[in-house]
Amino acid sequence: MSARGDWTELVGAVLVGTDRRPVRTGGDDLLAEAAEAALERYAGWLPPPAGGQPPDPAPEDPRPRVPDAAGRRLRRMLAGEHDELLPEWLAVARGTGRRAPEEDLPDLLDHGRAHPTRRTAVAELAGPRGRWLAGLNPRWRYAAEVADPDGDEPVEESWRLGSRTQRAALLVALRGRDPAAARDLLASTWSTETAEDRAAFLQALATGLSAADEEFCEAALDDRGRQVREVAADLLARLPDSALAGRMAERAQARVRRDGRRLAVILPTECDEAMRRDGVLPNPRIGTGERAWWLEQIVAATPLDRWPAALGQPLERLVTLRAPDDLHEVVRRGWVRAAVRQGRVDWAYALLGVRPEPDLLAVLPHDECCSYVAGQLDRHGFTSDNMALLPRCPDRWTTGLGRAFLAAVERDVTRAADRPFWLGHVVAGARLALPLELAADAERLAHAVPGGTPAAAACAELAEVVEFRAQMHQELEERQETR
Amino acid sequence: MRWTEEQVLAAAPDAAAVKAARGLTSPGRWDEAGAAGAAALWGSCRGSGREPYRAAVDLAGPAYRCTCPSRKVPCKHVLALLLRWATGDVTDRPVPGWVGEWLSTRADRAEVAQARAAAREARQSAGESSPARAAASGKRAERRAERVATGVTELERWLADQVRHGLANTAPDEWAAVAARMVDAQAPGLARLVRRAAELRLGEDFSDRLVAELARLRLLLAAYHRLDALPEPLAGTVRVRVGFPVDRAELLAGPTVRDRWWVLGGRDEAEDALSVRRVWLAGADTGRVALLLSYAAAGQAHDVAYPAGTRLEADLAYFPGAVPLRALVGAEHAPPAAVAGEPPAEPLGAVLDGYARALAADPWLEEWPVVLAGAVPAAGGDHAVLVDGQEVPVRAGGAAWWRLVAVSGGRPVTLAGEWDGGALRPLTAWAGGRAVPL
Repeated sequence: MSARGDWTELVGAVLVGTDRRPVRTGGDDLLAEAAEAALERYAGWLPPPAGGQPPDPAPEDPRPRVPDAAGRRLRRMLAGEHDELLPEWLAVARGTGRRAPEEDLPDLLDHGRAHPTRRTAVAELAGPRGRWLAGLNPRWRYAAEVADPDGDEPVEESWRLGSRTQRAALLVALRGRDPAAARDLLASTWSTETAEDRAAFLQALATGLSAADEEFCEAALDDRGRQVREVAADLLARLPDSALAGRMAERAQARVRRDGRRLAVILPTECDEAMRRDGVLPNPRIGTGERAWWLEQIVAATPLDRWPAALGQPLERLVTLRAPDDLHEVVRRGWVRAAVRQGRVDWAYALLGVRPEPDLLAVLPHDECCSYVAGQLDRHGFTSDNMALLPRCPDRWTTGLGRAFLAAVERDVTRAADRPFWLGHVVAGARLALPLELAADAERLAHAVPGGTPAAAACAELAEVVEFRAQMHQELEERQETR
Repeated sequence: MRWTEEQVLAAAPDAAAVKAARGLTSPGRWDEAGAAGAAALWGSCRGSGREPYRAAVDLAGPAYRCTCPSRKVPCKHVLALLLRWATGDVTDRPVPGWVGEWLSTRADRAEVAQARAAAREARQSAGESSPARAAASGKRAERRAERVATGVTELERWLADQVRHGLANTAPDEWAAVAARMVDAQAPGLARLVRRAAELRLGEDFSDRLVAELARLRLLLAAYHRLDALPEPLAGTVRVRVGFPVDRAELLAGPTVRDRWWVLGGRDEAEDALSVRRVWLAGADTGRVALLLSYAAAGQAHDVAYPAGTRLEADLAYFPGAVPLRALVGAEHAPPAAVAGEPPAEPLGAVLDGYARALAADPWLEEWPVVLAGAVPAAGGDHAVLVDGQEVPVRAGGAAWWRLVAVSGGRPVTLAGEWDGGALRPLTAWAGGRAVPL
């Protein structure tokens, strides 16, 4: 009864029914017989000789593991708890020079697969074990491709063989070290690249941009690809001494003049061929008139240093000049874009002196940006202008900005208890940015807010997230000797 | 003694409660949180309502209490309180009035229950001498035996019918109906086996397994008819498998086995609106294995809460049977703790021999706990581990499988799992000096 053929016959008979398929062997009680055979099969199971080979062992990772408490928190976050804080965890963990726990690598690598911007951090924390796993599971292939610290392929080789993202990254890195060599490398393959690739690689010249790049960019103004032409015009507009900047300045000064204590503005009547070649886009965004849109772009590409002389006014005064029909607003929009493009802190402050402008925060150095916004909050609280500034602040606030923020929340909540329905959103925005040394202050605020309101829930949540982040940092930075 | 975070998590009714509780652990949520040594914990948690919820724990029970409307026990507030305590954030304080009141009512109730139990015992010992009482309980047992016998005969007939007409032709809802009739016949063990077989129909390559399991069920029915002729340990096995109840208090009062038990791991499964938790243990000194089963209503906490990979020292009382496996925990001498070292492992041949011996003694054995030494996950597409130059199929979901691969790094690990006669379900791996639940 132990022969395999008999067992198969038995199973078939039981499934189909002995009425239809009588069995040759055995008596009336088929199941009683099957019991014996089944037990023989279970007890007599013999392992087959190993067919597959064991994989080559993963290379050793000399880095210590992150402390156990940090690993437990990572597990919880990968399971969904406060996963918005994972980038912060990854960044801090990377800084400690430790490796992620092996047992968490599958979840961590899956996370990197779903979030491409976090892949570099994930791959670095996963280290050699992660690259080894990527070799076994194609889902995680990216971990083997992202920066192998031991990989020292010659630049020309990587430039020839890499993907678009890898090549753009390589170009940016090379621009940081040797701008001319990077430009030559790009020029060497320029004619064979697709339009999309040309636009992506030309963008890399923004790193280490100088007058030496003008000739290359000027030539690209006549490129077949529209995107390539736009990138070239943008780069040239950042160079105050470029021919394009000069042409734009001429156009701007012909249309924006000072007339006594006012600004005289004449809008262009057409967007001619020459303007288009210099990167002026003919079609406006919805809600903007096309003539105003053309002028805004011209002003945005004009070197800012031309204006004090052209208008005969110092910077602080000329930003306050007004024009009939509110046309000074068109000029202001151009100036704001120019200040961002040309990275001008003095212009940013002058323009912010008139009124807050979220775009300009990008120009200010980190600490100055924070103290400017802190000052705004201290003076005016959560006006709509100020609330537009908050999302544009740096990812990590200074203590000063954090204090000003908490104080403004407390003032608002105590002043009008029914208002804070929107305050919840504002407070939620501070969860990732509030400095950790203010954890106790956030805690106090959560206690001070009367319960049962959306603002109270948001403040409790803020205190909780900041506490979570504080523990996260503490665990990761703990000096614990683990293998 | 303060609990570890793992112990708190194991006490939670489900993962959602843990997640919610994590969100409530910041100090800003809590007012007047305090502890009375290792006896009690309490605190007020600010929620969305105006009135804070008052949560308290009697650690001796443990028993949980909260003023929130949640039906989960323990609720997220109690869990958050326990988590804060586990991380050392709750300090000793004088016991406030409301906690003291609750604790003393609990103590009163415990005393009443004890008194009742003592009275019952006294009645029983008195009753033993009373022929009327003995006759009554004898009559009850007789009635039950009759009903079970009827159920067994009915199930036998039904099985024979299925074999004649073909299992492939059995209507899907018939299985559930038969299982329900076995419950009526006071044979819950048979009901469970029928439901289990019904589930096998839905799995892959079901036919071999289904026929094998029904054949074993048929064998159990035959054994029940001959119960009086069977030697005692085997008769005990048959009674337990059919579903005769075992008096827990009596079991715990009998002989126990003391050991330092490794927690090999386990899993929770839903069975009939109940959550069934299985936890496997292996003794460090005696080499014996044990299965702890705990049943909890959905949303309620299990009373068995041992994290995989830890070790505890305790007395176990085994259920009667030819292969003592299922057990109850009596006195706990040392709580589960992470310790260095690994559970005793054996080479593959010895493991398989052990399983075959156990199966010979108890032909209805379902899963058998094993600890393999030097297992390496194979590189190929099929899930399998290589041990002693041979290949053992692994039954694991993608997450558990890849965790095992990641932990091994292509090097041998000590692997604990459930063996079912054809494949290994991995539970815990030991590598690089640490235990990793899979």
